[in-house]
Amino acid sequence: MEEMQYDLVVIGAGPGGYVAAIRASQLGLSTAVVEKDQPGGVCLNIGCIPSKSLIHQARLFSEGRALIEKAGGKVSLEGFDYRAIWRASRLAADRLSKGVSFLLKKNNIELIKGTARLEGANSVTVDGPEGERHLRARAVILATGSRPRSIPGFDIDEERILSSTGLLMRESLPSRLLVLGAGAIGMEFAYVMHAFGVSVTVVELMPRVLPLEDEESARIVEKRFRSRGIEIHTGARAGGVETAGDQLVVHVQDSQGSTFDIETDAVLVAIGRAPNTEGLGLEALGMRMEKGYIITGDYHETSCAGIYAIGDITTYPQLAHAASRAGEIAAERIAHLLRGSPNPCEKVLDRRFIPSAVYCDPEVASFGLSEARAREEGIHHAVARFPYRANGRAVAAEAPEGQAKIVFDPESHAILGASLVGEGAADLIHEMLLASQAELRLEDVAGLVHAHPTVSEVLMEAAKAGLGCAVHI
Amino acid sequence: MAEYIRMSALSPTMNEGRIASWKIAEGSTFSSGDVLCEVETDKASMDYEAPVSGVLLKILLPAGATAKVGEPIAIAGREGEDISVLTAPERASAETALQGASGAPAPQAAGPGKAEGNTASAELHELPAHASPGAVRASADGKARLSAGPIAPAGVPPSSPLARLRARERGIDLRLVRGSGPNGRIIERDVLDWTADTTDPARTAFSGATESPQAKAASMLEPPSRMRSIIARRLSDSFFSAPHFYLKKKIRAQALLDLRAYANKDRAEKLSFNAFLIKIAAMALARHPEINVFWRPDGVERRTSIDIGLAVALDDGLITPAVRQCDRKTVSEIDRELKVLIEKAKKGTLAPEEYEGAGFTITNLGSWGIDEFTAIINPPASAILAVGAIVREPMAEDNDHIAIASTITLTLGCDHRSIDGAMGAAFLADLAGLLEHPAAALV
Repeated sequence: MEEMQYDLVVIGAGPGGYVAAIRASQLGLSTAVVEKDQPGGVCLNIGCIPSKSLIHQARLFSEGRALIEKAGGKVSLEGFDYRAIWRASRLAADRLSKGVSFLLKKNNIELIKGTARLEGANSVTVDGPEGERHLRARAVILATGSRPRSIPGFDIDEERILSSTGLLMRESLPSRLLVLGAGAIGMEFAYVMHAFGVSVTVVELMPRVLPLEDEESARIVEKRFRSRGIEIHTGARAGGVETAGDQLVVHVQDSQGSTFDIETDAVLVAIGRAPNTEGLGLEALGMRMEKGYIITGDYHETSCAGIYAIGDITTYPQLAHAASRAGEIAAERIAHLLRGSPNPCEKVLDRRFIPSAVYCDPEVASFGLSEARAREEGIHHAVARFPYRANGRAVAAEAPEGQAKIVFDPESHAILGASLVGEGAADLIHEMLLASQAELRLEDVAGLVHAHPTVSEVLMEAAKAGLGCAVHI
Repeated sequence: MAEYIRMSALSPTMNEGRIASWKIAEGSTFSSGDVLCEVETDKASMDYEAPVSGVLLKILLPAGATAKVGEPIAIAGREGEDISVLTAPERASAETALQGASGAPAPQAAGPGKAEGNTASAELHELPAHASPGAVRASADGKARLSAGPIAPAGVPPSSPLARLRARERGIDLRLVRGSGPNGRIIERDVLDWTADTTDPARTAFSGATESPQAKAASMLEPPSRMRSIIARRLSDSFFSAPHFYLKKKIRAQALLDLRAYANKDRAEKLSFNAFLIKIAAMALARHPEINVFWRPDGVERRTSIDIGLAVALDDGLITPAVRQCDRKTVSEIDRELKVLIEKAKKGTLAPEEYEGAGFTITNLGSWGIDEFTAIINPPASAILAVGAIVREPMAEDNDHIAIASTITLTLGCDHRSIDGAMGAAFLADLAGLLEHPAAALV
């Protein structure tokens, strides 16, 4: 049985693991990555990337159709085959997954196929297609990610009760879809499916859609969704599902306690993701965990010295970019300890500066302190807003629904957080994020010359509004 | 390509330097790390090491001349290179370059608070440059070439707009703050920590992982604050280069105490004991100008003004704000100025001209009950007076009886390079006489 020796073994080649491995290799560590599936993880293969391909196509499809019809033209969908759309999404995923393999090779990182198990802090066993292999590692980064979570009464069979994975891999469209959960994943799929003509119903337990996002942003999205004809039940609990011939019947109880049934052809369960922390041998190492998530400290090190954990298996937000950055910090720390390279500037990923984004139409993005939390926790703050309808570019692009909101310190004018909803929100948020992280003040954003006409002007105007001198409102 | 060699800040507070001597002659070759010239500031004299290798094509600043940090002092490049472009009106452009290089852009305000914001940042930008010995060292690693561009510009350390605001609010000189952001950028937290200097449990506390013993040991060695580094360097320089000798004299303090009590009788704001000490010391110095001198490597510089510094203890160090022309001021004027200066010292807002250039220093540990002590001279001054507590003790009277008297022990520290024993003794005897008979100061 061969035994290989590495400075660092990364378990999982998703956006956390492969980025950590590349950073480690850049810093001179001999590095291996263990992956049981495709390089790129959920994000590239059955998550962010293919779903963005679908969203992009859905938008072109629905807007193109609407534009032609508005101008009196007729659109025929004869011969339209969703499979072509689906194939494009797979092509994007495959291309990027190959890109990751290439990057790993370019950085001299060994990609080991198989399922890893920790035998100790320095010992990893990989069960792969070529049998069992033992790896000696001076440090380990766990980056095993997450999988869709189910709820009682909805056993995911990926036939009719689907997870995001099942829906992404499905080559045909159901005629009706019930989406359980109005978080980012649920809302994105609701948008895509509806755009391609599926009749969509969304059921959310919380009193509003996008419960993690700003309330006003969520209200704007909900209004848009409803006006398109998407049925939304908030404050409603889905109790279970029954098969009735060809169709499914889902029992729902609303906030008043009255129950009703929704008939559908397929159900998407999008209520969250569960960490992949089983079978890794963590319990035997006595690793500190909570509800299946790994607790980490400085530099994302676990309670077992030399073992680090990043991404969806930790208590940080389950976002690809959060995993990537945490991976860089952990890799830089390990290189610092083993090679004496500079210690990472940040001890841990700063939660205040992790952006979140929802890529439906309109887009939603935010970071930092929300208005609601500032209010609940009595944090001294002020709020500045600017609506998209007062922005020339947004109006010209027929996207006047939207708002930029900045939460700031009224004395120092420090930017504490921002929430955007509308055209380009997920890209625009970074100007505010950079300003906040670099400790710029409202004056800096307000005084920055923004090209006209761009949607980005909403940020400048919101900053000016915070200073009491917005021009276009 | 030929490049300027510029005056570099060789210490954290240096804002200008005087070339004491050139060690490399015009036309000679030098290597990175060679001493190009010796640079003097008002506090020390230091070697200027070449940040790069090359040929010293032209010396722009001859020995004895002074340049601000960032101004060109020489031109270096390859042998025989044309330097006409650089020899033209470069002083002006050097000024501009320095301005441009002095840190992050000022916050631009478009709304209320605009004027305020701009003034403040302008203020900070005008601060004398600190620049990183680190930057010079970094480019001296042998890899750097002359063509790789000028030496890292001198200026205030990079800082975020929010950090600058916090520093302004608290009156903190950003040069004293250590930046923890990317590339040493000073962020808000650094400024807040600098004042609070407390460990925020929310930031450091955790949880699961245990730090390795090495990491723990390393974290206990706190790098010194800028103020501590300055104190360390200046006082070591003084203590190890100035040959100190000490003269001690016990005085009767009753007359001084009576005078102070009388003067304060109807005053809401009491005149401090130190204000009387400063005034009387000034009167003694007026009679002994040979004590009020700076030691300079090229001679003894007599001070034309009697400026007296008072050592003020801070949470993390000390500073000696100076009262100017004490001989011409009344005790109450001195006292008023002293109160303002001490307040500023505690807030850290003293401007350099408020603490530099004292020809004589007083340090008083009487409030701690210290009987007597010796002090280290505050360079470039040549003498320091250490004042102990007022002690009630038995003293022999003229009639050989013993009575209880209030006494103070004075210890005068002198730099033997500029002051000899008899000179110091004559001054201390006169000072003691004036303190015992304050009315004599009128004579």
